[in-house]
Amino acid sequence: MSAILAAIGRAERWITIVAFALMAVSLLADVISRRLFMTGLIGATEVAVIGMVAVAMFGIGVATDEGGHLRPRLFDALIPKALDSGLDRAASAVTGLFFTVFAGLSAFMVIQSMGLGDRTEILRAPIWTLQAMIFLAFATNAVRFFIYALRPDLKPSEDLEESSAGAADGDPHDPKTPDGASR
Amino acid sequence: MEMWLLVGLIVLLMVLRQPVLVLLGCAALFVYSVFSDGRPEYAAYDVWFAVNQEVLLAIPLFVLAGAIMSKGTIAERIINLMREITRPIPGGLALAAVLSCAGFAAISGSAAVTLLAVGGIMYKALIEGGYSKSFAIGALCSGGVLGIIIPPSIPLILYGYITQVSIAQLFLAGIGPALVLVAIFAAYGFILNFKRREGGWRVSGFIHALRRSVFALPIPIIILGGIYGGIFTVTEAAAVAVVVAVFVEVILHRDLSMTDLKAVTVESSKLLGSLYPVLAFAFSLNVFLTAEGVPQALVTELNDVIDGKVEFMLMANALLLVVGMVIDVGSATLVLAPLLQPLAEAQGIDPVHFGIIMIVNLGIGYLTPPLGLNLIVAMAAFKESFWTVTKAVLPFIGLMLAGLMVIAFVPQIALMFIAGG
Repeated sequence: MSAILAAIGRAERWITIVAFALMAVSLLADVISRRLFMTGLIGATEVAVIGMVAVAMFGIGVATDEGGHLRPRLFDALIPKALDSGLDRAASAVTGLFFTVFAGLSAFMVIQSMGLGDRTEILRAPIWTLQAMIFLAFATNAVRFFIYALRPDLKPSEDLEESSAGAADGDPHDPKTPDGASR
Repeated sequence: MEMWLLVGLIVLLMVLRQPVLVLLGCAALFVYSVFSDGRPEYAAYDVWFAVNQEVLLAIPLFVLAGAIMSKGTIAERIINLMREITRPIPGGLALAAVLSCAGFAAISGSAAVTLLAVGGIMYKALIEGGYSKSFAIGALCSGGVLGIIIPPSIPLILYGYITQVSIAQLFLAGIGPALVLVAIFAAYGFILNFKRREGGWRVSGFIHALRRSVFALPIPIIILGGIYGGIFTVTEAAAVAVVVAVFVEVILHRDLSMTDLKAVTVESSKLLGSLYPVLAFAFSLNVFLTAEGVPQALVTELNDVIDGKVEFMLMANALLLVVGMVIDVGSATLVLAPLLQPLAEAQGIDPVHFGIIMIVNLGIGYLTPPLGLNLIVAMAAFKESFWTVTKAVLPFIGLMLAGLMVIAFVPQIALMFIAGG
């Protein structure tokens, strides 16, 4: 199971890296084109938006891998410590269920867009291919959380300061790794 | 009845240790299922519409630019220059800390990144310079908050996005209030540390620091000058900031390798991966509330109860302070701005001015327990207990509250750079 998590995580990391590069390069090319040739680069902003959708959606998995999702801890103290382990499993299962529901709704949206033949304004790309990123992101997170429910030892520890500062260097699948401790 | 069910569901999910994105996502599912003819798929469509927005492009790029610059040596170079400039001034190192935070805030849009980038270097220097631990922690934590007030600012982009207020105007409006806070922090540091001086001017030291920061100093000018000089939009400025950051750190300074760059990009993806789903589900709730006419109804209802601008301002600020203690700035902005901004406008408060009040106010939440993000970051960065950090920031919370009142009741401070303001 850790191999599945690692493979999903690796793929999502690379997608976000490429998407970031796509965003920066396309927008910069647009600025340069406008300054040099007095006309913007057709479709550059649309490409950047596609990159942003990829970063936004596949970033959810990166944040999950590194315990980066913000969580209110208001009621944590109410639950006796003895129930912690069971509650953690239940929490992962509930989050997994949430992502499954949204993966299902996103799949519905993708199928509808496919049927309608909707396309983007400038590049005329089929919208369903872009919406599929939302489905994939929710689905991979559902898989992650169901795995965490079965194998809580694979779940990364929550790290509020890490999530806020966006700094983590450790292996997200190794709960023993002191991510960001060097900072 | 349905509203109580929704509240019960949220509380149950909080007991079940669910992240904010699940709370908001379930709330969106609930309202669309119960109040909107059983159409939960609208929530998925809202996610698509929320992330597929050109106006949001600036956020990931400013986050990445800030992360690159904090991982490299731009922060250190700015700090060294500030130290040389403030050497002969009483409490000069404290002033250097505040000015460094302000300088770094002008190229980063995040409070925690500013605190980490400047605090990582300045904390040790302040302690070695004889400044109290309490002052050092407080000054750096509160200086970090300048990161979300001085443009570029991620929360200001979120406010502009969710309320349809001009982001470029919000950025301009952040400058005056930030200067007020810098002046307050600097005056406090000056009075408290009057007897501490680093020495006289050092021409060679100043020239050396200036030469080292020659590529770092123009970055805010390129970003903000480009926006207000009409050369590029806020979004394009963010892309330019990334490219400039990579060029300066990787090619000119040679302080970042490609491996570092990859790691920084993944770090930024993580931050955005926690922000965007919250934004998307908050957007979904907002779409529902607007379609149901909730903000308008609230304005009508509360306009009869609230007696004038001052009362509204006090009530809104009290509410935001409490919310800021338990909810992060991004989520609070996305959820509350669409409800409060129409109320503020109905009271004759400029939407740009209200945006600044909101962000400064929620920024104080970075310093207040239990969820003060800068407190938690400072704990990790300075290896101090939560209690030590919390005690250290108390005087600075007071200073920020004083600053907030000035900013709230003197709108000209925020609006002075805006045409007609």
